[in-house]
Parts: sequence; structure tokens; C-alpha cells
Amino acid sequence: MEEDRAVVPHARLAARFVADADRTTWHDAALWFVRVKRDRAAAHVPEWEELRELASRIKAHLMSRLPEYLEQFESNAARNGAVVHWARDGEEHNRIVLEILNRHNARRVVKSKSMLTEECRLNPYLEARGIGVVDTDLGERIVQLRNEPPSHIVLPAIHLRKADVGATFHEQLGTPAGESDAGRLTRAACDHLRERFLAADAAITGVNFGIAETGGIVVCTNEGNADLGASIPRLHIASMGIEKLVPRARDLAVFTRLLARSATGQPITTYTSHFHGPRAGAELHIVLVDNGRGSLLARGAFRRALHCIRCGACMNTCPVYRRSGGYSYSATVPGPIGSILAPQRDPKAYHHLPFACTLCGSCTDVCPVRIDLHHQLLAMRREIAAAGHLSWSKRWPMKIARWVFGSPSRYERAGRTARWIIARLPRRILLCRWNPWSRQRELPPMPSKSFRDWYRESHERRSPTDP
Amino acid sequence: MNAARQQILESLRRERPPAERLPELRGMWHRYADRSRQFADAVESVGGACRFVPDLDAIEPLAKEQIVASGADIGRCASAVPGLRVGRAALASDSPLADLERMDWVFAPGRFAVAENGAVWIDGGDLPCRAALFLCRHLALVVRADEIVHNMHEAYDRLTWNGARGGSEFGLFLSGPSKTADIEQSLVIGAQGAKTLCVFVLGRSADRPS
Ligand code: SF4
Repeated sequence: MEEDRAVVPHARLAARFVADADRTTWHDAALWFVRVKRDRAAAHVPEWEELRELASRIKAHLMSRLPEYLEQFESNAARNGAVVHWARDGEEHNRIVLEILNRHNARRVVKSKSMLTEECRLNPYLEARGIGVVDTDLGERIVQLRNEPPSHIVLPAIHLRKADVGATFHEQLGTPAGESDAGRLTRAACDHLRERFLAADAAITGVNFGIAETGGIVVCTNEGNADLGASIPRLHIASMGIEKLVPRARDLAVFTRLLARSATGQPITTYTSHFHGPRAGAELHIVLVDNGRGSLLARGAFRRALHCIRCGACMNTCPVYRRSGGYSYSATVPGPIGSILAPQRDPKAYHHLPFACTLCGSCTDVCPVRIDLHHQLLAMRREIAAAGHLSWSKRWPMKIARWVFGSPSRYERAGRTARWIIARLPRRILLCRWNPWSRQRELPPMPSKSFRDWYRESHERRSPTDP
Repeated sequence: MNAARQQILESLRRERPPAERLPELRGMWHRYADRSRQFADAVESVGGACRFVPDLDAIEPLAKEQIVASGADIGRCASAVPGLRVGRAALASDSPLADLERMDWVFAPGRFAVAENGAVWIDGGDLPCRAALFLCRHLALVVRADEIVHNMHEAYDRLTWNGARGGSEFGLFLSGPSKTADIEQSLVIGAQGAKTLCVFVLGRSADRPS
């Protein structure tokens, strides 16, 4: 229902990405720079930690009363003149959107950034039915023109260099060959998109926050594309995950202070737009989508993953993501949070993702809603192992390790044997291709004796079994 | 569709997580010694311009200067600010899209502004058509200095929501001109919405020294 790209193990896709060392180094540095900007922005807010705590508690409260808040949101949104729809899964969402578009005879759709519509695979669905969808976020438009999915939830084209974008625009938008000036490329794309806006029959947007108390929706962007869409055609469809609610409008103060600072280091997004019903002569439809969110709520250890406000900070800080790129995750949402969401849905296909992680905990430190990301990643590893999804190359070494570490005497004997053998084996065998550990690493020189031997010799009077 | 609604709500009721209290939002939020100054700094940090003026009359010559400097056509400039006459174009609820699209300058009223992030709250009801805000090349906002609040908490405390009962269905916090960094993380000011933003701050905020 969600992904239709083939799921390839993270390590294999990462190997492809790091094969281009210059690009990897750039990618790593570019994302780290965003992380540094985030740090600077957070440091400007003395009550930053308090805000994170509040955000986490507001979301926890919301989840404990989600059905009531959804009903409240629905009735307030209807009172504002919006039409609310409910979709159990991606397909139902797509069907509803198609039906609304067909009723308005809409053939040309402009869409602003929405990870939810990516998750539902809305674009191919509509295109197969004769409806043209133009992604209007610049980064999303770039990857759409290249027929690629976004590689980051906030910076969709972060895997590309200026020259790549220049080549794509040259082919598709007719910019001069070899153009690589970001300003000129941006202007060309904006002109091209302007035409699409003026000709559009309908606009689709995502939703950053829904307000239960007022029935309003809030959309946050920097380029102005969501507002152009929602202000030009007479039909606005907003796709919204059921977890996007906040109870009160005042709660938005907490979230708007956190979101942009965490995402890009801005004090707030350029446009933070509040829609309470359609404008005169237009229609506003809000599609509430579950698509697995309810079942995530039912899973205690991973429930808080639903608090995510999609800021991307955990990706920007992740040492694995920065060096392996978004595509290495083969999931709509990559990075630390994606490595929980994807295997939660489909543990068999995505069993490798929680292992693409050093458990450094940096994601947990930056997450604006304080999701315990690295604890969840560890818990997910356990679940995947218990469900028997691990490959033998992870299962057997672990079993052997448990057996060896389970007994002090076995451990000592194993150590002695290893020191003896490794010192004598030729490199050709030690660093062979069956030993993946040695692909980028040298083995350390083997010590002549273990710590225990040394300890025993230097503290002879003590009992050898009393370390 | 009703079946979907029923099913989603029922399964959420079945799987309800343990109760959590909704926290109070009474923090010791950061406040600024000089709100107007902080606001101006914030606007500039997000790529906008900010000018202090004593009153509306003082805006007109400055606005004309800016219009000329931007090479704009006075026939394509419009003001939706009560009492501010700049430009010869008019905004109406039935302004043709093609006219709005050619708009060089739009002057719009801001209800209040936020010192911490340079955002101005624009109430859709104060404009005959909201598309003008996003289609124009240059946007200028006018806000009173004593309407600058310290932070987003104070901002949301000021807002009321009554879309259904005759209030406006649209409002936004606007902070700076449109921008993007989607091409290799190089920041480009001026993306799809207004390419420049100038905020005129009217009068003096009470707590502004000197
Ligand atoms: S998990 Fe936290 S840090 Fe990661 S995208 Fe979601 S809110 Fe941002």
C-alpha cells in the first residue's frame, strides 16, 4: 500500500552513494551546516528545553484523547465550511482525492509539499487517471522532473549538486546548457511554476497542524507555493495525517517556535498560514488519513514516533544519514524516524533499517518533540530479532558471541585462541571478503597477553578468580 | 466514507494510550528590552527590510522612493492600507488574476507583529483578495510599533478564531520575503511569493529607549 520502490538493504544502497567520495563529503557537510544553524537558532531561545518538554506533553495528551479531538476538529472544520473526509489507508485517500477532482472536472493540479501524499503514492495514482500533478516546492519539482522521490523530508533535492539541477532544467525547462547559478536556476523554476499556478484547476497541500478547538489547519512553507495554490484555484484539498492535531490554537505557539528552528535554523517559516474554511466562492476539503497511524498508537514502545512534526532535524544530525543519503533507506521518510516508521509497518522488508544506526543518540538530543529515537531503534532491533527477520550473518555471530561471553572461562580460552591464530594467519585470509568488518578497516595488532593475564601477573597475591 | 470514519475512531478508542494531562502554557517566556529593535533585527535576519516611521504620512515619500528604485510601474502598485495612498492600481475581490499577477507593489496592513521572529500577522479580512499577497513582486506591510508582541505565545493569545461567525477564514504570520535553499543549500531570497518584503513600523513602541 505504501512503498512501491523495491526495498534493497541499506548497506548496499549506501555503498552506491559513498562510491562518489566528493558527493558524500559535500552531502555530509551540507547537512551538518543545517544542524549547526539549528543549534544557533535553538540557543537563541532560553526556554528551548521547556518548549520541547511542552511539545512532547501536548502530543502525549493529544494521543490519549485522539478520537475525541478528531471529532471536535471535524465538527469545527465543518462549521467553518470545510468538508472533512476520512481515509483508512493510502488507497482510500487517493480515491477520495480523485473523486473530488473529478467532481470539479479538475485536470491540472498544483501540489505543495506533503510527505503524506508521497506516502500514499498520490501522484502516480492521479497521473494514471489523466490528471496532471505539478509539485510546486522547488526541491520537489526538481526531483519530480528527474522522476525521483525526495531524498529528505525538508530538503527534497539535497542529494543533487547545482550541475545536476542545471542539466535537468536545461533538458526540461530550456535554461541555457551548463547553467549552475542557484539564483538563475531558481528564477527559471519559479517562472515555470507561476504559469502552472495560473492555469491550475485545483491545489493540494499538506497540513502541518490541525487545530481541534477551531477546526483550522496550518500550513508552513518558505517559498509561498502553498499559499499561491490555496489562493488561486477554487478548489483546495488538504491531506492531513490524523496525528497532526493540536488541542488548542495556543499550542501552536510552542510548535511554531520549535519547527523552523529545528528544520532550517530560521526563527519561523516565512509563511505560517491558517485556514479556517474556504474563501468566498471556493471549496476546502480536508482528508484525514490513518494509514497505519492508529496501529502505531497501539504499540507502546513506538507510540511516541507519532509525535513527529517532520522537521528533519534527526536526519541532519545523523552520522549515518549524512553519509549514506536519503535513498539508502528506500522509504518515504528516511533517517532515524523513518527507521522506526518503516519497519513498524513492514518489519520483514525493512528489518535492516534499525541497524543502519550507531545508537549515538544525537537524533534524540535534537528532536523538538523529544521522541526517544535511539531507544526506539534499539527496541526495534529486538523486535526484529524476536520475529526472526535477521539474516544469518547477524544471527549467528550474535549467538556465538552470547555463548562465548556467557562464561568467563570460555571467554578467556577464546581470547587466547584468537590471539594465537590471528597473529599467525596471513592477511589474505584475515581481511578476506567474508569479513565485512575489514572492508574499510585494518585489524589492530594482537597484544601478547590479555588484561586478565596482565592483572594476574601484577597482582599475584590476589585470587585469580577475583578480578 | 462513514465506514472509514467509524472504523478509524473505533480502533483509536480501543487502543487508547494511558491518560496524560494537557499541560498549562504558563512559561516564563523570553521578553525583549526593546521590542521594536528586536523586531527590526529579526526582519533583517530573514531577508526583509524594516523602517521606523512616525506616522502614515511619512510612509508615502519613502514608498514612492522605493517604487522608483525598484523600477516598478506606479500603475501596478496598490495599497490596501486604510489611509495610505500609494500607487494607481486598486485591489478588489474580483480583480482579474492577470492583473494581480502583474502587480509590482502591494501595501498591506499588518494587525500586529512578533519581536522574536520578525513575523507580521496579516488578517485575510483586511484585504479584498488574498492572492495579491503572494502574486505581487514586492510586498510592504504596515504595523504599529505598540502592536509588537514579544513572542509567539503572546501572538496566539491575541488571535481569535471565528471563521464560521463572520470572521476571516484566512490569516498568516509572514516573516520575510519568500525564499528557498533547495538548490545545493544556497539561499535564494525571492522565490515564488513576494521577492522582497519591507515592514514599516508606525510610531514608537512604549518601551523603546531613546
Ligand atoms: S523525529 Fe523528531 S527530529 Fe526527526 S523529523 Fe520527527 S520531529 Fe523532527
